[in-house]
Amino acid sequence: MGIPDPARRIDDYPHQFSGGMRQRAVIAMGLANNPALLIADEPTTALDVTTQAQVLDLLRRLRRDHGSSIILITHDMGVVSQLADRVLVMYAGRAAEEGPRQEVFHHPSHPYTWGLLGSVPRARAPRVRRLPAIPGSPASALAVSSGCAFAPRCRFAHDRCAEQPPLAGAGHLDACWLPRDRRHELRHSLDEAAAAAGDPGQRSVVVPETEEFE
Amino acid sequence: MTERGEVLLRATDVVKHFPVAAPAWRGARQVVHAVDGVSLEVRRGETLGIVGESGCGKSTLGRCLVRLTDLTSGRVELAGQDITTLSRRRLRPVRRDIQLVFQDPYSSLNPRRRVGDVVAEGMEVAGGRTHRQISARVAELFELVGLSADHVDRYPHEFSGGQRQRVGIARALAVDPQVIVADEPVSALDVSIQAQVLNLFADLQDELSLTYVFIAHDLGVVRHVSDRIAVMYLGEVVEVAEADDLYEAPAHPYTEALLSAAPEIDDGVTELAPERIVLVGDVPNPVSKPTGCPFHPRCPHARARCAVERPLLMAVGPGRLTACHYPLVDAEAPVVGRG
Repeated sequence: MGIPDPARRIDDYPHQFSGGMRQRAVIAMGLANNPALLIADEPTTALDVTTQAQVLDLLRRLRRDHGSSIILITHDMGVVSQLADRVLVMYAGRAAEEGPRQEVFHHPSHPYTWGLLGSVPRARAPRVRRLPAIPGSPASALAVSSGCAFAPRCRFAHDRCAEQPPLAGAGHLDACWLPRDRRHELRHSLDEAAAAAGDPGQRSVVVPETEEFE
Repeated sequence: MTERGEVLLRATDVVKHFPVAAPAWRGARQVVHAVDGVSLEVRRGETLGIVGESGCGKSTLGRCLVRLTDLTSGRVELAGQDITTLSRRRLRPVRRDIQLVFQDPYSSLNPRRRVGDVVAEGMEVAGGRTHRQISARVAELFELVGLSADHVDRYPHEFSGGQRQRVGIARALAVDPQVIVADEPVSALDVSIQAQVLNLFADLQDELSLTYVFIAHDLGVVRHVSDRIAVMYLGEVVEVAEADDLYEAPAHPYTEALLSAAPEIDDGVTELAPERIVLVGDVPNPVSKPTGCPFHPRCPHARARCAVERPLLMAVGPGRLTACHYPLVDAEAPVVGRG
């Protein structure tokens, strides 16, 4: 597990371990019986980035050496992008988009995924002054609408969204009523609107009229 | 981007040590070397990012800059005035010019006070405004940070995390500061809310010509907001550079490792790092810092000299400084003074 001097450290108490070592101890517990499936719920969220890199390496090794399957639950799009084979994007308790990692990250099709990816400031991409953020606040789990749960925050919401969209598609699935052939263009319009004027969360954005989708 | 002017905030050899209670049988008192000789300059209108992992001393440095904590030694100057040893009374007018935005929007607002009163307090202390003027200003500040003026009579628990952070920003802006030191202001927020608050920081800087010191651990966030960046490790600044230079060609091996450890999103457009460097071991304890270079026990490029001689922050190119005996960038480029 990469803990130095294991014969001595095995008698330590949790408070004598650093955060990264504790996380490794917990993963060791999870692996003790060579499970076929490991469910890791935000396994690196509390860790510093250099420690996180060590834990991600450990999860990769495990998958390779033991052939274990992993369900990785995280809010960190970078971690998903580095580790996952397939991705399920959830919003308000429902699946918004699902597909192979490269499909979802290179060609995201749900407006919520667009917003998530746009919200993350990148260390390597060219600098932008304003991020194409998602307006509003995350939906409350107490009052999920009978229609599309994301509609109240979606710039492309239209009448059809009052009805819950099914998770549909072939291989790469999404739950959205927007016409598939226009998704790329619509996503692009969000980036342009954010770059063009002030806070996209606050100010009006020039996006195609919603009636066009009817 | 923003205009950069003269040096507005200058830290010189700032040291902050905290005594730790050691078991009696160990004898001598131990100290945590939280900040260990940091020198920085912040120019008017720019954003200086301070990045590092937990325990590197970046928050303590932020508190030293606004004199929320007293320095062990060293000096902090704001607009040419030495504020290091000012009394509480003499510090009061200085506080109008430099304000702190805290990390945790849940614990940094008094839960028993209405948010309008929280924002008004700084103006009441500063004096010079009537009650009516203060109320009008509070309403104006709420609109400025994207809240409604109707929210002033609510309590902190009635707000979401992002809204609370907006209240914290309004409180900092209430006294018309020139400099805002923001300590991890978005790290407690959901990613979509984080983006909204980052956009707010950008809008406010444009509208009010603010100077920011932006402390964060998230490399993407720091690059997004900063003109220049200082990287900290174990209480020391190991590198200072223009944001683009730092990310394109780090000079210090720790910066290189930190950047390479950040998980990137492969979106099919952004070019990914060629290889990842995974450091061995954990950050050493700041009570017993390594001799020589603080990073040498984990450094993939360390040589014998690094274990004995502490490297000083030296120029390695225009506007670039690094504390490394064997920097990763060519030191031949002309020197343009301290960054």
